[in-house]
Amino acid sequence: MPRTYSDVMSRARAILQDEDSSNYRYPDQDILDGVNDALLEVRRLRADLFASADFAVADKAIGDITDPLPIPDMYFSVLPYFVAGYTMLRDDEFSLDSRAVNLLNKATSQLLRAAA
Amino acid sequence: MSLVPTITSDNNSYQRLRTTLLSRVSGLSDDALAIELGNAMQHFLQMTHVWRETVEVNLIAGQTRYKVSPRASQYAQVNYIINVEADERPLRPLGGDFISRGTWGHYKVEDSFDEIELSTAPTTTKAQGLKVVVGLTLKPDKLDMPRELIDRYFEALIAGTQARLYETPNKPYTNLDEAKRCRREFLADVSRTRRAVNAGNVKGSPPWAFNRQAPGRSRRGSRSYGF
Repeated sequence: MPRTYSDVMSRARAILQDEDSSNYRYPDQDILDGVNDALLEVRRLRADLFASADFAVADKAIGDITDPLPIPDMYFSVLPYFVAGYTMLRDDEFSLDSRAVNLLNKATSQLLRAAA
Repeated sequence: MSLVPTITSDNNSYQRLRTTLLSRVSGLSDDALAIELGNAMQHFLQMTHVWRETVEVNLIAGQTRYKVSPRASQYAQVNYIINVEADERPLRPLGGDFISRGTWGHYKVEDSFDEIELSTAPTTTKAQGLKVVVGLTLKPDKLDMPRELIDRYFEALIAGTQARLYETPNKPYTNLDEAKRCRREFLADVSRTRRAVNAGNVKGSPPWAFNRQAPGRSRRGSRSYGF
């Protein structure tokens, strides 16, 4: 079964240690914005992954998070890294800048290099 | 509309190509594989003219233009008209406007490559009066190359696809040294195949020879100098 936007959101929350659904630190909309931004970044770096979708990337709304992702599953893992990285870049008491930068670099290098 | 080429037939040889490439090239997506494999197949077929078909066309009295439709037209398109024969005699190709000549025996290829125009319309209708040998290539959105051609030129197609993938910048599989090696291997295979095809696929046959019917050659031996 293809991975969905919702899967990325839950993986990103695991990295962010924000899995208590009764008391999320980051609202769903913020995390979903991160997924939408991450897909734009993947589209910029690896246009070939969007060939079947005719190179189109459309932002998803909260009601559509069970839709399948437009990229092959083997590149799924870069998306939670991007989303967690973007979220950690926010200036709040839970964030750690160096960790955010590490996550973003890891995601980028997974897209561009064989060993990352 | 996506233009990622697809395969419409159940072709084990294609699956062998796909499996080999996915296992050799790390981080390769199915779309990138289909796009570059399609490009390599097109390139190989256009350079070698190895995929040929003889199309028989009905001659119709008074008609000069004929559409050449190969049997594989669902997934193949005409790349070249290699030879045209009528009543067991080869017709000669001509460029430009020859209509004013009004003599039987010449043809020209239309811009669409799958239509020919005869210099003179036949006077009688004949079933299968025209034999047209065409060189085929893939349609841009298809990967349905005949199985026997894939099997015979398997390594060339793999090398051509790998070269294209390895030379793409900023990918996990980018590798310029390997790209050069694969490109050399592909071009050598193209050259070898083209030579073999030009020689009629007969081992040891010369790839090209003077036409024995050429006027300059046939007269030279029997020329009289008035002695």
